[in-house]
Amino acid sequence: MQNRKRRNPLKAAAIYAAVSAFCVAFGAVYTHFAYGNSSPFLTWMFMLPMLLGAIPCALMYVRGVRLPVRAVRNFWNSGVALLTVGCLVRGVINISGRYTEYDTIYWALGAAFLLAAAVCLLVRKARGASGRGGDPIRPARRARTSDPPRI
Amino acid sequence: MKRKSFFRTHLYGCLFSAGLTLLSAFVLLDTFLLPHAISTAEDKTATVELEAAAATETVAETTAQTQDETAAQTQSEEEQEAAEETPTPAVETPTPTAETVEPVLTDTSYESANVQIEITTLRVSDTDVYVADIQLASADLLKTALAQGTFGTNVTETTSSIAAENDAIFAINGDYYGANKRGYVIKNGVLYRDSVRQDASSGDLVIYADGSFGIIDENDVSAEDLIDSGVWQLLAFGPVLVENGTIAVSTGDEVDRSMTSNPRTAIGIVEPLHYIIVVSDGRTKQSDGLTLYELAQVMQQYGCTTAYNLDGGGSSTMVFAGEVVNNPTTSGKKIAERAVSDIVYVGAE
Repeated sequence: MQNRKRRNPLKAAAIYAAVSAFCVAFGAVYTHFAYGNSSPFLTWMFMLPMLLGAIPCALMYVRGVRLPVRAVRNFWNSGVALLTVGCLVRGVINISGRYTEYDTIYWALGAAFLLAAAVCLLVRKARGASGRGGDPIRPARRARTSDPPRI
Repeated sequence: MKRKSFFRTHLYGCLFSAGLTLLSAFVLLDTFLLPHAISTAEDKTATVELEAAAATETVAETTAQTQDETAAQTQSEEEQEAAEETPTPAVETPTPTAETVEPVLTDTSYESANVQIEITTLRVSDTDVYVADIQLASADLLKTALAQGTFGTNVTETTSSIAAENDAIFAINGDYYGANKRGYVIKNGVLYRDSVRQDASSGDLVIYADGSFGIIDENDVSAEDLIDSGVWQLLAFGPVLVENGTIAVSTGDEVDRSMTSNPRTAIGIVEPLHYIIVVSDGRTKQSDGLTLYELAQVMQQYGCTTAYNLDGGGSSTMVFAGEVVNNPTTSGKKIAERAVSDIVYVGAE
């Protein structure tokens, strides 16, 4: 029951949407107090949790598909978080009139985590297709408790 | 069934969040706060000495001549005093030449044999604007200085402090090279850094050893070539305000998308060894600040053929005779200098 709640895409979509809303608010407030300076990284960083989190989770909910297992979720969430925070850090630095090369760390790690999530998902799918672990997305079939009646 | 604690349940999330926070904290601290001193100004020797050396000889000759004349005058005065009781033929004392005249310093001007500075205060677009008209005998009198005498990132000091340490009669904030780890840095003929900056397309201002100005793109020329061509100073901020006497910014151009009026600093040239430096207030009730276009208009109004925008905002500072002339402010709430990484100044004689 607890596991089903964690794999509920609707809840995940709501959380991602809240993160996107926070990104919008943060960018707007920070830019307002930056004496007119702005950065496209701060302006558009809300798109990452929206496009990589809220919308996919909403679509999964609509299609009745559960979220992947914990490992896949952790990797994916980490990737989105790294990319989003990378945009925030880059935007803050650029607005101050400076430039940085540290943002490449965020892009590299974020891409690596997203890739890890995809690989993990594919591996589990492959195991499920071969009958060695069950489908990580679809609910597992209930085991038979009795032999079918003989005709 | 025993429930797991929150920490155990969300162990991965907690660890990842902590790691991401530490990474971000380090990046921000390293970018804004942590100083990285690379070398001191004393460690470097100028490699551009052509025109500067020639100008120095001229000043030295003038100084030697002045000393000889002063010695002769002193000797004649002593002889005159010694022979007071004995009538002697009147000795004609030499009249002071221009080289022997002491510099004249007022609240708004400085005049000597080699340096003339006149500071005027204007009111432009509800903003107090300070214009310094500077005429020099040689280009090596227009110098730059590093905060704490040290080259590096996040090594800063107020403009007035740097000016005092370098005996500057006049100083403004520079290009704040220390905010970034890339971009050409040439100060007083010394090459400190030769990596191309990320926004090189906005152009750099170069000051040659003969006192003339030029605009270069770091993508088109190497720092070594600039040194070889006699570049004495390089200022990297931008954009170019006036080029060939024509305003080079549009009403929509701004530094890093800064769309509002702000305190500004700009340097321009009327002709070699004749410079116009403008610093404006801003972000206060008294002064709104200038847009780049308005700043360019002021520079053009004073006859600048080339004018270049330097670091503005809270960095904009003009110092004259040890006093801060303008009202530097970052937030508009408190008048205080911002620590900067370098200054442009005219040395006192």
